[in-house]
Amino acid sequence: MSDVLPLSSPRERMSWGEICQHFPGEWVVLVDADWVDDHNFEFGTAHVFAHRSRRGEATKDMGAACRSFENVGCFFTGRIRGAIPRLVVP
Amino acid sequence: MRITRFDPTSDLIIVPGQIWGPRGEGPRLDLVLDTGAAETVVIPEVLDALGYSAREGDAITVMRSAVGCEQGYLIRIARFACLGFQLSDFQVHAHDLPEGWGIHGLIGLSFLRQFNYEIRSIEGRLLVDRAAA
Repeated sequence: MSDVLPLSSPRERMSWGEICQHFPGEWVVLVDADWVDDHNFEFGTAHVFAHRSRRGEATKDMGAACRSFENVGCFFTGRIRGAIPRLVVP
Repeated sequence: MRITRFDPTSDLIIVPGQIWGPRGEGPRLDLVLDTGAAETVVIPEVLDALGYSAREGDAITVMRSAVGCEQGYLIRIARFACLGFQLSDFQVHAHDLPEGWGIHGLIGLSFLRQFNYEIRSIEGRLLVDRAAA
């Protein structure tokens, strides 16, 4: 499922754990995260501006978020599993 | 030796490239030659269309900018062609580039270091030769 939250709607702040639970295996565009520092991926809570199944779809949302917010980010809530062998030799 | 031509009047050295993926052959891409980039970058939109996703990636990556923090991913692609040569199982960095550039990616040193190359800027020619083993 993919969605962009309207800017006018009240948005609940969520922690990273809650975001992963709500949007598993998706790319999320976060705004207004209260980053702990500038060097690590650690924040208290953030608003989810948009969530998409494909990274390319989140690109446009990042552009829209950047025009409205000063603090934006795009992150993957899933886990990478590595390449899938596409040719199986018996 | 392979010769690739580019527009010498352009602000950037833009060369054609192509990628193949699970969904087959991709379209012609406009890629910027960037000897200052370690990785070869392809925008996610292109990789999505060819059937690649972060789940099959090698690693998640992070880039920080003035406005925030953005993740991309490293992924091995089936075939990558540029500057007259093709590489298979080639790792690229899936990441956004600034809007409005109209380009699909950057050719970085991960690709270039496998060749000897000469950039003849006034002539608008790139001379590329496979490096001796």
